[in-house]
Amino acid sequence: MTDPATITAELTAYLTEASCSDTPLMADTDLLATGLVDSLMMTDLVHHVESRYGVRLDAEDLRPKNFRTPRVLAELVAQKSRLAAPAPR
Amino acid sequence: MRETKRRQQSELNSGLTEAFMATARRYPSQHAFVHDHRTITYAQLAEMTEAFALRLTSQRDWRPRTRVAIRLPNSPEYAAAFYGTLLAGGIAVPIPMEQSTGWIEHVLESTQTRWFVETANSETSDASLRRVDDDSLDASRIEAPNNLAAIFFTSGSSGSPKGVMLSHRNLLANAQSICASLPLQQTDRALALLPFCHAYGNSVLQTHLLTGATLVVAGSATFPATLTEAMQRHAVTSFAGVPDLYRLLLPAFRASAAARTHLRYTTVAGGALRPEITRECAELLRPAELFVMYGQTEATARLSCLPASQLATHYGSIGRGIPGVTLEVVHESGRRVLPGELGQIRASGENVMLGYWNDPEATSRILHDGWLQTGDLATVDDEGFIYPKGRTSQLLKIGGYRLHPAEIETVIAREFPTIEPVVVPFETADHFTRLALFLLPLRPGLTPDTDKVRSCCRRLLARHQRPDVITFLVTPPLTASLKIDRLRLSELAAETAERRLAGQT
Repeated sequence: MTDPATITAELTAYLTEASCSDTPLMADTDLLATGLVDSLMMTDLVHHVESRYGVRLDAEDLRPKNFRTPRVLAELVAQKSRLAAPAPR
Repeated sequence: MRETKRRQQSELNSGLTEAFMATARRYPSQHAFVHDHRTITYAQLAEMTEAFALRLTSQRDWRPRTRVAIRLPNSPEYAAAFYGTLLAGGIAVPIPMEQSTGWIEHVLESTQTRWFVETANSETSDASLRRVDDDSLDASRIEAPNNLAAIFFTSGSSGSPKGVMLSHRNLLANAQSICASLPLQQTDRALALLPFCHAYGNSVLQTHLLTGATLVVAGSATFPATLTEAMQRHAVTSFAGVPDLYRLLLPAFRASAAARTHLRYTTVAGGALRPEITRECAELLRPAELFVMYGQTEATARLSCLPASQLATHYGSIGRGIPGVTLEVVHESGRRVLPGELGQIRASGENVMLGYWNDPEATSRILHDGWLQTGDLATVDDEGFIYPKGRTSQLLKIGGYRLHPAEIETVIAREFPTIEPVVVPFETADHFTRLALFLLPLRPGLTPDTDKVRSCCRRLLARHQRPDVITFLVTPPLTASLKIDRLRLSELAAETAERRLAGQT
């Protein structure tokens, strides 16, 4: 579950559904400028990411730079997920 | 000549604007606003206000009591447009930024508003005044009551938005009552996060600008860390929030003690904050004090206060009426309830609205003999502290915004005549209230296209009105009296949302 491309695709699909968007979102859709992610969406998105990928997003992670696009967020999730996974033996 | 005319108009509508201008004269060099990276002093804000009023009064067809729609984000420009409209003898009609085009058209038509202030660029919040391009709108068609200052639109118990008419006296009286209940000082720097175009945010605006305090507009609730940074950078001493905001901010507050260095007090209103979360907030924010308040737009903003010193012994209570407000919980027969007995909250005072705009019938249902029937159920303890226990109608609070399920059901039913839409609230795992839309086919064998419904919600509903869960349901659960079981639907919605979060869609 640490492949950024897979996570990007999944998050793009989740956000398309959750935002009731007319047109499917793209991996590089600007989530902030378009207003797709607001404070209501944010709580659901964080909850979704944490339960789906088993990572923990701290207050420090919840910054505009990490939520600019689905791809950017997926990179963060992938990175956290690699750190959380047990080291290969 | 024009000067004389303006002075006469301002005397006619004396009250709120004069009080603000008096504050501005008293503290000319004090900061009224810290807005991102600029500061606006009281003298500058007063100048902006006068300039805006002059733009209105220099229009050839400007008349007193003309309505002016204001759709601006929290900014000095909003304050200047609001007070400027009043100074020109007009009536402010604040328009929430999140509202849909259909909602705005309804409000403009209902108030016969032709003047619209908006921002061309949300980054700079420049205010541009334009004429609404609709010749059928004519302000003289509906006579506005004397001394009317503003009309705040809010969800009514029947589902369609209602215009709450607030007079200069209402706004001033409530601001004074709030100031008397809180440790608000002229040296305060308050984080102004709640939108000024809603009652609670408006009361934050009025109370601070009448005291000579500073409003800090910075950061975004979407990213709580930006708020704690703003609080630290601008040495914020107070803030007002709705329950959801506190829940969002708790982790950020825990992470940043520096944000709380200068914090003296905070208020929570606009919905019930669960007692255990209230306690957690109060303990985390200490030594800053937490004041629980309660109110509604029909009462200008706020009606009650639970002082911070009484919080630990009265979790779950909204306190008692604030100075100038009589707050009672009454039985259906009209007598006051006994301790522990359930009744409805009613209020009287100079902050109670003039009525609903152009709707005497709805007004008479809620205002009797000087009492405002709040529609909120409550009990009282033997010291007179009030404990809210839900509502008599289906009105909901989503992220601090008031709404009625019928607002959404009406839109969906209109667009999809073969579907019966049912909107219910549900509670998420982390205790936020969200909406679910159930689609019941009116003819057997019919399968609604949920994607089309979703797209319709996006087009026609404001963000806080959009359901998180949209589900097609052939046989709805029914109550013993064969009505749709809304409570059971709420449970179903919570289960669906849980499954989706767990990725089992």
